[in-house]
Amino acid sequence: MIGPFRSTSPLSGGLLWKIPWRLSSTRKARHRERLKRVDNVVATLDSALAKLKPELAPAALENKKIVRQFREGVKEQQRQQQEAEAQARAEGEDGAVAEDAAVAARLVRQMGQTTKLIERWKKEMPTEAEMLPRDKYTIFDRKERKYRKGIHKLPKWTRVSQRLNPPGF
Amino acid sequence: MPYFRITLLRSAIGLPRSRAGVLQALGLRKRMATVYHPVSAQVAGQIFAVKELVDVQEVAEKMTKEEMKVSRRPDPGYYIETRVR
Repeated sequence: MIGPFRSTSPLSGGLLWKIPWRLSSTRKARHRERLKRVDNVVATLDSALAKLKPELAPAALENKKIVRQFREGVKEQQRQQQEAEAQARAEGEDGAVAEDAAVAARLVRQMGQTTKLIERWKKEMPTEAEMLPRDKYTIFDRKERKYRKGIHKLPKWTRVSQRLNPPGF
Repeated sequence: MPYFRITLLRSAIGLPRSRAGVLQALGLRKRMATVYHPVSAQVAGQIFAVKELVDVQEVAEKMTKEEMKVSRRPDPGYYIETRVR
């Protein structure tokens, strides 16, 4: 029997949903797009914060202790940088000390803002291009044969970042 | 002053309550809503918490709702030479 009202197991029984075993190529393509979008958001946050100089923290937060401490830290760094430069000038071209000080000074000057979260994400999470197809489309499951199942079995899989799996599986 | 232009693309329905709370704090009430927030580490952390749901761009200037609407309006394909009185 064919047509919209055919008696299939999902229709005749109670709650019986059929989730396909594998993702179709178009579903995989949409999944890749979502992964890229998240990568893009993180890259935007990172670049925007990197451009922001530490002294440009919003004035509304002036009174907050954290911001005060942060600014004091920046001033301290600037002082150290000046000292390092002065020392480098005093020592002239001799030795690695002057070179180290110059490198440190440059680093301090280039420093923008960032957050721990973003740094951790960049360090630990692979980007869409870096991911293996295995990790993109499947997920570890200890109850499954060969320990893998389709990522579309993961609840809310289009709105969570599931990129890492246990090493060796 | 740089801003984050944040657009809510996916709803937080069915996700942990905290996600919905972050969206509310950012002022995103429904899908395709756009808000502007100054670039800061605090806002970046908020966006990071809902990064799977939003689209973010860094822009130089804020746009009002009316300006955004005008920018979306297509070219009419004609222009008025002189106004008839």
